[in-house]
Amino acid sequence: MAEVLMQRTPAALHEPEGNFLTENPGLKNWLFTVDHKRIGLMYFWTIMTMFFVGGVLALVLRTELLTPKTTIVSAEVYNQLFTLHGVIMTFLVLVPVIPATLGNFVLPMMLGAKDVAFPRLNLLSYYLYVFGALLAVGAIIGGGLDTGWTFYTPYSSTISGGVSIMTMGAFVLGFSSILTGVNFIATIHKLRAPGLSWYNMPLFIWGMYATAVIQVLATPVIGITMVLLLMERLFQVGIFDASLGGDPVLFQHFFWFYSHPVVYIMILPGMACISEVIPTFSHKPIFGYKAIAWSSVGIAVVSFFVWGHHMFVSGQSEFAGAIFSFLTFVVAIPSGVKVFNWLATMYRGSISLGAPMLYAISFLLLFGIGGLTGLFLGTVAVDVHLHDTYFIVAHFHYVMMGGTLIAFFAGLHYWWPKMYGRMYNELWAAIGCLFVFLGFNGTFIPQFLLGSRGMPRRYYNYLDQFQFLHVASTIGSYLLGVGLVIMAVTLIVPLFRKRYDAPNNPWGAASLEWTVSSPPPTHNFHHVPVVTHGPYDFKAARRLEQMESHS
Amino acid sequence: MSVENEAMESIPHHGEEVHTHNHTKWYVANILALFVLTGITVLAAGINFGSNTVNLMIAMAIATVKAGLVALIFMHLLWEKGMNAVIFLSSLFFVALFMSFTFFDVETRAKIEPATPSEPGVSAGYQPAPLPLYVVAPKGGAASEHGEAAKAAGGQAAH
Amino acid sequence: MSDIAIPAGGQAHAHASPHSRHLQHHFHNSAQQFEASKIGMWLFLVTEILLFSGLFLAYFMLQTRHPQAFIEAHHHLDRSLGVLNTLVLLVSSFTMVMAVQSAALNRIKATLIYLYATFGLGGVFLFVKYIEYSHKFHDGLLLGNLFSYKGANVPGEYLFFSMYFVMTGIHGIHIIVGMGVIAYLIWRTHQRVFSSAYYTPIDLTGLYWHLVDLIWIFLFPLLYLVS
Repeated sequence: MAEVLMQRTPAALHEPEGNFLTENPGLKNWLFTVDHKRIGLMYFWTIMTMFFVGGVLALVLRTELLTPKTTIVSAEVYNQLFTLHGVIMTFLVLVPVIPATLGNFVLPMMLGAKDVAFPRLNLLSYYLYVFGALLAVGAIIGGGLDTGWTFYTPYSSTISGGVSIMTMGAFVLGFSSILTGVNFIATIHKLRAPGLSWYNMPLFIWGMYATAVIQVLATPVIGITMVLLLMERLFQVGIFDASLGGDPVLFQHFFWFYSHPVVYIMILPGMACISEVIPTFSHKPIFGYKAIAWSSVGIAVVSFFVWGHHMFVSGQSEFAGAIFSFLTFVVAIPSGVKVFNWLATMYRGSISLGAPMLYAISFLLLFGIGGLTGLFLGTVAVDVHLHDTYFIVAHFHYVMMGGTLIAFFAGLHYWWPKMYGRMYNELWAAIGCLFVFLGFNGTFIPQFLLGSRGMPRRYYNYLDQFQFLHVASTIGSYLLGVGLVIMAVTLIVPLFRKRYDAPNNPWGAASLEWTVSSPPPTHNFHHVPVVTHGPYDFKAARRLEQMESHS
Repeated sequence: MSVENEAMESIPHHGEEVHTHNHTKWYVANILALFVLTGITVLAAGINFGSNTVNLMIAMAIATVKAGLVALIFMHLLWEKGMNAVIFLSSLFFVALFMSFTFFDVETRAKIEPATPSEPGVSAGYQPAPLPLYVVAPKGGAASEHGEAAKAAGGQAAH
Repeated sequence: MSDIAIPAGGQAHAHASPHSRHLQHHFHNSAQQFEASKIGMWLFLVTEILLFSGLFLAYFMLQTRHPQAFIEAHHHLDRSLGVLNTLVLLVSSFTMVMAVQSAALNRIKATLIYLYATFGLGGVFLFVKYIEYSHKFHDGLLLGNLFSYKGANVPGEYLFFSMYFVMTGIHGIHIIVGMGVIAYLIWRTHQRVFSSAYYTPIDLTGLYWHLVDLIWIFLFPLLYLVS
């Protein structure tokens, strides 16, 4: 890692008054902005709106499941609600949540750049997201859709309703995701500041890079899948229809060739956030930098080899099943490398339990459970028993919510002072985290038990013997909801209180985004920064800060 | 491969004179070669090399050579070493992965024998389609959105 | 892993002052901007390749299941028109690359001529496609449930035409989009926007156009030369 060679340009000094939030005010300037920070915030609030809707739907679903028979909604509505919950949470929240918000906001600053490589494409990506979201949600609300978020044929190609509009929505959303990916790869290759070699980049950037690779390679396949599904619906072209000479399992291959890598589009950015939070709050350089960096790339590549483990009971051949099962175990290795390196970073560190760190520790626990149960499910024989039960539901919520979203919350608390220039109340943030952690486990541990006892997923009615665990799960989900509200209030309140103003570098972190003011100036850096120390060289960063404050 | 020093270079040096080469000869030679290869493709299609798969493979191999020429010369990969070629080749790797793994499944699937009504153990709900699998496509598109034509064709499509 | 490729065809960096009017504020100089754009374009081409790979996979799948139907059905296509269109697209690729080179050498008049030629050849391709399509429409050799041809010998021939129309249709859309962009380039070249100091849009459009050609190179034997 490069050592101190020359003095860093004092970017943070002689700051003029304005920052990206206050300069060029007005709705029009926001809606047509090409500033990556503003686009990141626009993405943030839009995605959070979708997250709110998806979350409320989840609570409605859990409430419905309080009793074995009808509670508050009819069976048809229930089917549409879980589809809507699934579509919103996967396509509209989990896929873009970290890259499009935190990634957009901090990635160029971490690189010492003024913006992403293609700022206008970045804005286009945002509007495509909005348009796709409207199509997707509109399709379900307007036309009705009860296929689940996986749209398996032949059901999806033969029912009436909103499937056609939904496929277009997924296509448009895919385009938005691709544009983010293309932008990030080009930015990371071409806009690094002088001195920022590949191995000097914060691990967040490596995670974003790996994510972008998957976005570019996998997303087009869901695009063509949706086009073919549309063709199937309009003209019965027969590709996915056995009665017409095609193969419905082929649809599942198409779908999972995208949708398995896509879970790594979700989790890799989460891991990227954790890789920033843990060393900063352990006050210790990260352990195994290169191992973590390359394991991100490793995960990105291997993620393409394992999609068939979603199809063990689909009629896929046993031979393919065995190969996919083996490869699934392989993908656990880089994830394990990361987890052990994070633990080694914390070992003998001087850990401060700020809110980001609390979420990061929650992440380690929850992602550990989610990842390990994934190994159960990657084993063919076990999967045949557990497939399409609540065990699966609990597993992927542990990975997606316990992994991605908890990591997102860690990152959000970490960069919130940079985004809005305000600190939040640490105590309330910790209380929020506690509620989220307890509520989350309260919701999904019962679902593991339900699944292993044979409760199938997506069922409206269930046997009386399952009621106790369903009630427990529902109570847990309410607790989780309360935790999320506490978190939201804790973060939003300081935005209206000037006395919570944040310093430039509240956590003592060492990457470039902390050298500029909070919130950052419109063009990030007044001079091109020159990187002279590693991203986790906290001592060097402090030395430079002191030098600058004396000069 | 010094990754460490490379970042200093990541901002291309300004003001270096780069000579613009005239590649017209390459382009003309390339287009002629592509014409010849197109002829070969057509001729090869008239020959039976054994099986359907082998014929298809040979046609694809010639097409790959042509595509390679286009990529190398028209798309400048021959002169442009580095990242762009890596990006291009990686896409081919993942395409190969997509296709080969799908065919691992398709080619090794147990063949479903046509079910005879007297055969025990075949539930009434699931009926493997009788061979041959295909039916002549239903006509008229009016009902297509609802898949009624597919249902009429006797498939298991509609639920 | 050096990604500092000096652009082939040669962007004449020396002419590009750092304050060139085409330089966006977040780039240090034109070379950096050009290389970033180029990486972005190649990434976009990757997405195009994977998009089409789904179509090819579906084709291979159906073809291995119904080989006889595909052989029978492809006889309805006019092989000579397929060859003609292949040659037309190959020549258009040649004119496109010449347009790029002319721009790089600051021969703006030649650039214009080659761009017009490329646009025209794209038009010829579409015209031939139109002749083919109208013939198929007339015979009822169409995709999926629109297939109404009476003389099919082998069941499942409509699957071939499903693939034929979906593949050539999506490819045709790409040709139309490409022609639209080339028309835009012609307009901008008339306005004297491009020179050897700045011709990034022409270069990137060239890459796109070659990729569309490259995909046709694979489509042609699959659709017209099944054996």
